[in-house]
Order: sequence, then C-alpha cells, then structure tokens
Amino acid sequence: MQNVLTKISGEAKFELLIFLALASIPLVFSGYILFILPQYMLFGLLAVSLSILWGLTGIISFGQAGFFAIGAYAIGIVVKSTFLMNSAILGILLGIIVSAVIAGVVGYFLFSAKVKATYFVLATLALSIIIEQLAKSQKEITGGWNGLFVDRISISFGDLLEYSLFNDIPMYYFTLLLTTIAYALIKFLTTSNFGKILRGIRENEDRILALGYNTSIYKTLIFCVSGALAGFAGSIYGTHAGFVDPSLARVLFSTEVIVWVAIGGRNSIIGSFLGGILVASLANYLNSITPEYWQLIIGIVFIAVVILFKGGLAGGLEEIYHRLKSKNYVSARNP
Amino acid sequence: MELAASVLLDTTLITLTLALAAFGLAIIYGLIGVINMGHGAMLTLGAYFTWAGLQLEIPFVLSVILSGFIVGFIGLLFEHWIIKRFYNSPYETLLLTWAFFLVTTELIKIVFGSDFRTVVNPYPGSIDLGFYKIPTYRTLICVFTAFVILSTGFVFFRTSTGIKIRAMIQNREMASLLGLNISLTYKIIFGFGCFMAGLAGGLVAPMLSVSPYMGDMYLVRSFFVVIVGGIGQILSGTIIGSFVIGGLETIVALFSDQVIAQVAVFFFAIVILRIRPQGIFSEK
Amino acid sequence: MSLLEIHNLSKSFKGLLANDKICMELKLGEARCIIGPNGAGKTTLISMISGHLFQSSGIITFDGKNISNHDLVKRVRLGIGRKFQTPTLFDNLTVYENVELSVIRNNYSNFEKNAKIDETLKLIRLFDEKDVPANTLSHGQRQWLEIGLLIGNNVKLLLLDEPTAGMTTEETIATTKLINNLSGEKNLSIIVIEHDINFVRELGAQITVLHLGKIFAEGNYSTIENNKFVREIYLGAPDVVS
Repeated sequence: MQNVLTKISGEAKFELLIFLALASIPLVFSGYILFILPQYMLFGLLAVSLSILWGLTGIISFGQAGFFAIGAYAIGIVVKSTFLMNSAILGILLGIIVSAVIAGVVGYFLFSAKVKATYFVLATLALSIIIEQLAKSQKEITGGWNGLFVDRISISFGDLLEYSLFNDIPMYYFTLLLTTIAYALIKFLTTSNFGKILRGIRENEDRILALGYNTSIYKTLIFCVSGALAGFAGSIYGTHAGFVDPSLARVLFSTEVIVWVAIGGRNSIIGSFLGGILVASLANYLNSITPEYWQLIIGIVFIAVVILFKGGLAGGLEEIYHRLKSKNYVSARNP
Repeated sequence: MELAASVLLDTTLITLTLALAAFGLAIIYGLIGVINMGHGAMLTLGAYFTWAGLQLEIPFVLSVILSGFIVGFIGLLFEHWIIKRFYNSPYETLLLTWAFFLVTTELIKIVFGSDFRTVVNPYPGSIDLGFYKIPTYRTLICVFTAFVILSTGFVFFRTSTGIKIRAMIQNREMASLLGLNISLTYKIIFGFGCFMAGLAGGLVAPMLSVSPYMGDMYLVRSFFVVIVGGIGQILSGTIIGSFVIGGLETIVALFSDQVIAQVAVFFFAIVILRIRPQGIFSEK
Repeated sequence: MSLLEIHNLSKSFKGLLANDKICMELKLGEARCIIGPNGAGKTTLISMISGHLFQSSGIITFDGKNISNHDLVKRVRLGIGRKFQTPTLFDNLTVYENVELSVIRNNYSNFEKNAKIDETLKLIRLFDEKDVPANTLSHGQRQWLEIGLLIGNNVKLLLLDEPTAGMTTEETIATTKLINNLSGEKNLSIIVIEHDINFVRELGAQITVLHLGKIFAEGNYSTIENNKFVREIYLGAPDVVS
C-alpha cells in the first residue's frame, strides 16, 4: 500500500511539473513555439482519448481522428453560420456532444452484441472513413475537398467582457486552461471506481461480468467519453488552426494517434499526453529536415515499440524508477 | 432480358474482381486468424512491381507472377522475423501489420515517388456478345479468379495437406498429432496470402492508376468481404462477400453517387458485424 | 423457505440431453455437494443457475423470484456468485485490488468499503498477501481469492466448481473449514461440485449424485457411500476414484 501511495504521488508530482512547465513557456520563449504548442497540447488530449480506451480498458480505436474532425467541423460550421453571441462556446459544445452521441450509438450498438475486440477496430476504421467521405462529399456544409476556414474565436461573457483569441498568447493560455481542466477530469475518472472497473475489464472481462457489472455499458460510456474528449480537442484545434479539411478524419491521422500513444506509453495518461506532444513535434521537426524519411522513421520506431516496449516510454521510465528503488520489485503493471 | 443479362455480367465482373483482391486477406484471416492490415500495401506493392517489370520489358503475365512471388517472399520474411512471435496476441499482429503498411507505403513513396503511374492494359478490346460488350481484360481476370479459387478449393478439400489444414483450424494440437508442422504451415499460409495479394495488385493495376495509396480502399473493402462472407469460409464466403459488398456498392451508386455508395456499404458492414458476426449466410 | 428451487430443469446440446428434468431445493445456509462422473452434467447445471447458460426448459426460482430468464448480470446482482473451474482473476492487479473490484459494486462509503475488503481478505486468509499481484499467488491461494471475490460481492448463493482442484492437503482442509464457516456463520447457501471424495466426506454436506444428466441419488455421505449403484458408476469412471 505504501508503495502504491508513493507511486501515485510521484506521478501526480510529475504531472504538476509538466503543466507548470507548459504554463511558464510563454514567459521564456516567444514566436513560433507559442503558436504551435497549443496544437500539440490538443494532440496530447487526442492521445489521452485513445489511451483511456486502449491502455485503460483494452479497446483499440482506429477512429479517433474521426471524432477530432467532427469537433473541428462543428466549430467551423457553427462559427460560420450563426450570429449568436457565444457561437464559439456553442461550437465547442456541439463538437463534444455530436462526437459523444456518435460514439455512444456506435459503441452501444457493437458492445451490447459482444462484438470481438478486433472487429471493433475494423468498425472504428470504417466509421472514420465514413466521416472522411461525408466531409468530402457534403460540399455545401463542409466545403468538400477545399475545407473550411475558421476564424479565431472570441469568448464573450455578456456585453462586458470579451476575450479575443486572435493573438498567440491568449490562445496559448486559453488552450492550456481547457487542456488542464480536461486532463484533470480524465485523471479523476481513471482513479475513480469507474476507472477501476474499466481496468478490470481490460484484465479479465469475463470476471468483471461475473461480478455483476454490465460491461457493455461501461465500454460504451468510456467510448463516449473518449469520443467527447477527441471532439473537444478537435473543436479547439479548429479555431486554433483556422482551417479544417477532410484530411483531419483520415485513417492515417488516427494511426498517428496510435503511434503517439504506443510510444508515450498506453497505460499511462501522462505518458500518452506527452507522447502526443513530443512525437507530433518530433514529426514536425523531422518533416522539416528530412521530409522524405520522417514517416518511415516513425513507422520503424512504432514497430520497435510494439515489439520491444509494450509500456512505451512511460512504462520504461517506471521500470527504471522501480529498479533503482528496489531490486526485487515485482512488476505489477507490466508483467 | 438483355438488360438482366448485362446486369448479371456486370455483377459477376465486379464480384470476381473484388474477390481476387480480398482472397489473400481471407486466406490469412480465415486460416490463421491474423488480421493482415498490411494487405492493402501488399496489393500496392504488387502493382508497382508489375509496373517496374513492364519498364524492364518483361512481359505482363510474367511481371505479374514475379510480383506475386516477390511480395510473397517479403511476406515470408515479415512473418519469420516478426509476426510468428505474436500469433497469440491479435492486437499486436494487427498493429504490426499496420506498421508494415505504414513503412511499406513510405518506402514506395521514396523508391517510386508519389505521382501516378499507369500500367497499360495488355489485352485491350472487348468481347462482343451482340447485346453487350464485355472488356477482354476484365473477363480474363474473372476467369483467372474463378480458377484460383476453385484450385484452392481442390487443395483444401481433396488433398491430404488440405484436410490437415482444415483439422488445424479446428484444433491445433490435434493437427500437430496428425503430423502437421504447425509453424511451417502458418508460414506457408501467410506467405501464400501475401503472394495472392501481390498477384492481385499486379492484375488490378491496368484497371486503376497506380499510386502509393491505391491499396487502401481495397483493404477496408476486403475486410468487409471477409466479414460479410464469414471468416473461415474462404471460398464460398469470399465470393458471397464480394457479391454483397460489390453489388451493394454498384446498386447504391446507381441511385446516388460513389461516395454515398461507399458510406452505405461501410454502414451496412458495421451492421453485419453486429447482427451476424459469423457471416451473412453461414451457420453459427 | 428455500433460497433456491429448481424445477424440471433440462438442457440439451444439439439433441444431446446434458441435464434431464433436474429438481432440487437449497435452504438458506445449506451446503450441497454435487458429485458424478465426467459428463454427468454437473458444470452444465451450475452454469444454468449462474446464468452462463440458458436452460432448454424448466424453472429456476431464487429468493422467491422466478429468475429463469434473468441474464448473468441480473442474477449476480440478486446474489448468485460463481467460481469457475480454473480461477479467473485479475492477474496483474494486486490481491487487494481484486477484492476491491468486487466490493465497489455496492456503493459503500470509504470506511465501509475498507472494512469489507479487510474482512474478506482475512476470511480467505490472504490479508498478508494483499499487495502482491494475483498471478504470484499459489494455486490454492488463487482459488481462495476467487471465493473472496464472491464474498466481497455479497452473494447469497455460492456456486463452486471444483474449489480444491490442484490444492495441497493442508489447503484442502483449510478450504473445507472456509466453506463450512461460510455456510454456518455467514449463512450462505453453497453448491460445490467436487471430484475429491475425501473432501466431500470432510465437508459433511448433503450430496446429490448426477449421472447422465439425471439425479441418481441423494443423501448424506454414508448413504451415498453405501449405495451400490453409485459405487458402480464411479468404478466406470476410474479418474474420479480417489
């Protein structure tokens, strides 16, 4: 028990450190990094949305990019078509709700029939392709292949206060604030009883069922949460990037999310979050120095991680930490 | 009457072409239970090798066969080095074959470039049936597909190896008692599936433009062929699945556009996944 | 009043009768052993009670309710818990976390939850092992932990499928005590499938003998032991004799 407590607080300290570091970056740096980092934070959230499925519950989804795209389109379409005061908030809410509802319907449809885990992967793959195709074909709404331009939003609180996110620093802190809130909520979720039951499903679904938990409801709920989180990240991404196009829903983008999480460490929320930030920035960097080879390199790293380091970077660090701490540590997490 | 006949012919062509593309996947999935997410990339590879063969002035048929063997060999190496260690973990094989797709696609882009290539139709022209003309090349492909599926069926049901393989699907331990070398059989099946994918890629190349992502669409459709037809129902399932998926896509496309047709098919496949996960016509 | 009543319960698999019109009653706090040669239909019977299988015909009543059409989860929530033949646990979680997962289904306060977990851990004699992962336990301890999961789940009826399989003699004795304790002090009803005749004798519960899907004999240990036909069917299945 003592061991577990120190471990939890150690992880919490690390998380705090990461978010403090993110908060202090604008004090030290300026320029491009302040523009691009919020985008990577959102990718980090997108990675977290997969990690609560894959690492926590044992379900892989190839459709996270689809939900992300739904969020981005939602804010794009709402901001364009309404003249309401709070169209930005409406857009974000819509992104969350539509993603959650689609995830809920598809999830319940498949989970309640006890569809095999690998089939679920194929269904999410198809879902993502459906979203991409619809984005391409419904030109009047989505702009088709050409995509949609989205203005940077302003958040207004009545007539008194309006907070424009046009400049990089307000946008940075706005994104960071929302990312932190979302992260904290997810963290709370994973440590709650609900999270424990999900871990039970990952470990032994038959047993969890025989203990009287309706596993299909739990799986549907977490898929809903995951979809909502991806949609949320997508909606902020939409206004941050200022542009949405069908490539956001591509299966290839969903794959990138899988790669981030695999490299960061699927069992660790903070690992996945950092995986999203670091691998995406690494990809960006590699793309600038060696545009031909960067995807190849990332593909090869992905294979290495799947074969050799199931726990990803977070798992590796944890292992080292525990080895240093005690030599006869029995790995409870990554046997 | 003539309309009916032409619709029938058209459907046959679509069904068998799709069956050809899905066959390699159906074999690997049905016999050894690996979801080969690299299937699409293997089709693409086959198409590029065939294109390369033609550039080297190797005759078309020989190019296609060579492509099949090269892709089959690549598949064997992939199995031998990586996949064979993960047969008991479906998620890992799924991710690793997907990684194969990523890496292969990038390599194709590096070696061949991203622009479209064309493989000239080696048998242009069409066969005139009086009321309807069918393209010669597509007809040849369909005859070939029927031949491949029937001969695989012969091996499967009429030879002792085939019986052992069928025994293996039922019960691995029992089959090894019958003297079947399981790991070698897995290897051969995986290699054969990849060979078929490479062959199919080469054969469909003249009907499409060759690009690094040409296999993608076939990948997902092939999965749905296998799912709708029923896993393990390699022969009849592949045909039935192709008929349903290809046919549905064609019919819906008649009333709307290609994109909606595809969406409808994928939607249909998700529904099938749920209500008849064992395949649309197969028994439990 | 009986906790469990089974009336004319039958199950056929593709025409093969695995259970043929089984009738049985179990009182609150009663333990019952089901014995019989392989293929007698013991596990089928338990699976129909637990909700892992549905009967072909017949009625199951539990706690006064007709549960014949209830699914697994519903039955568990009424208080029917099952231990599988090979222990199914959360292997990579600690013993404590295993029991916790079973306890938290009831919305206890933190204090109640901890008390319930500790009580369960002590009952199954795994309190000292609570922080080790379940996959490092001995075979016997794993069997206990699975029983612990059922206790933590507040069951009224325990279905135990070969609880002493693979146990050492000492562990078997401890298991006998545990089961008697559960039915005696905790007033749980228990159905045990067992092959180990010594264990059955030690347990001293009423015995139901199944043979070819039918109830063949019922009674206490000495009645069964002296039943000529029971001896005959057991001799026909040598692996059961011990």
